[in-house]
Amino acid sequence: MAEECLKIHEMTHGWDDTPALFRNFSATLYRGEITALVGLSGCGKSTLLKIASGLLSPTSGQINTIHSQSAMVFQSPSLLPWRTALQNTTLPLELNGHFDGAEQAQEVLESVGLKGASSKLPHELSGGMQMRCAIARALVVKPDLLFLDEAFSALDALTRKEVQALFLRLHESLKFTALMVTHDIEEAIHLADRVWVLKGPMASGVREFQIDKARPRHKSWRHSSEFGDLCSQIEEAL
Amino acid sequence: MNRLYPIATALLGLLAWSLLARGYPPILLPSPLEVFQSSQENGMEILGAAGWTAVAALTGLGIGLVLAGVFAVLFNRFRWLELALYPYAVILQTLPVIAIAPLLVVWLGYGLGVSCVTATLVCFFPLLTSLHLGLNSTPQDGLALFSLHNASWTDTLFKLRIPYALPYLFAGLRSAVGLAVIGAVVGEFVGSNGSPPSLGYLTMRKLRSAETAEGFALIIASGLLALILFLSVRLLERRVLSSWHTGGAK
Repeated sequence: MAEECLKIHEMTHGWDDTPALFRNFSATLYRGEITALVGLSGCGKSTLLKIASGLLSPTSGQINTIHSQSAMVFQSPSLLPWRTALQNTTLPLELNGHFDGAEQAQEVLESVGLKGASSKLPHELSGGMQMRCAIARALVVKPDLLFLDEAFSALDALTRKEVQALFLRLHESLKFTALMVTHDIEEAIHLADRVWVLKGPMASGVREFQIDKARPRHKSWRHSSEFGDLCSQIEEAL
Repeated sequence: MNRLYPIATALLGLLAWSLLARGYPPILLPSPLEVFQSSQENGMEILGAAGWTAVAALTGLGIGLVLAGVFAVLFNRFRWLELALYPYAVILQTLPVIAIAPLLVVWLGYGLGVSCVTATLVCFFPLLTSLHLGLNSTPQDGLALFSLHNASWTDTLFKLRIPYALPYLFAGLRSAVGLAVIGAVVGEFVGSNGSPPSLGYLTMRKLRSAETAEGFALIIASGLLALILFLSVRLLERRVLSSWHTGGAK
């Protein structure tokens, strides 16, 4: 059994005037794995991501984290428009009190294919480059747990595949744990080791699908019958 | 080509004014030519007066900006303070400055102090509302990013909230700079005894002594002063924001 990285134990969360979104919810993330969280709109995917990342406190229950550094990639790149790509990448280091991280940030920018774009402002970058810069900003702190909130959904189809491939390459080399929210079942199956299907409200757990496909995964896998079967099973579970 | 439209409007306005002035004595409505001649004859006096009014307006604007900045940050930090004080900021805005000015003379005596305070009073509210809105308009993802990296309150303020509030601040400054000149001139109407001789004071004196052309020249100088300050704010806005913010600074 893989080592646990984050454990949600009997978590309950909701708002006063609505039924609880989660009731005694439990789930576990395993080290080095990519877990995709899928579910219908309003089922609490993003809320669960916020709770797991510590941005939101649950009404009750425990979130046990066994990681030292986490980072997040948002749906939009959310780069600070007055800072260059390099300055955006160094931002988390600055916030952590390290003001000499330019070299480190430059290396990460190069690893995401933005070698020549470090002095450019966000509006001078394409959508795909902005998202790669956002990934660089997340990776610069060397996170052992990465959260992605529909990070690839705003990209056009071709750019999305390109950034997904980059994400997989980075995961291969850095071996971080990732929890990603997505509404794209194919993306979830292609990228993840586990797919959690969340059915809310009042969810007490997830229906988990193990994706037993060795990495690196070739894009032709998307056209296999095995992939299609998984898609059908997850669609049915939703 | 587009620049020709406002120039044509100005020329048409001057023509209409000239034609209208033919039907009235100069003491009631001087012609543009008479006003121009008067401003040439009294050029140094008008320039000096505009300088003093500019000092009062900019001092008032500066004080208003600092006060608005402090209150906007405190309102953003402490919701209870916003609830307790914001309604009174609105009430302060509704008080007519012309009615407060005599009271300021009682408290401060004649001089620049009154016009500085009236300028502060009129420009405080637009600056406060724009900064307050700006500081509360920080994107949620940015706040989440800073929170996730355990950013301090000051880091979040100076590296995130204030930069995002700058376009709002400049929108407020564009309104406030013209109001500051109005506030200063109104303060000078009531609170100046001619030392120093400012635009508001000279305008009142000239119009009371039926030197209407001189009065017109001073009124136009007040308008030009407000326009110069407004354009300076636009220039500053363009320098600060144009590299990353597309709205408002063109």
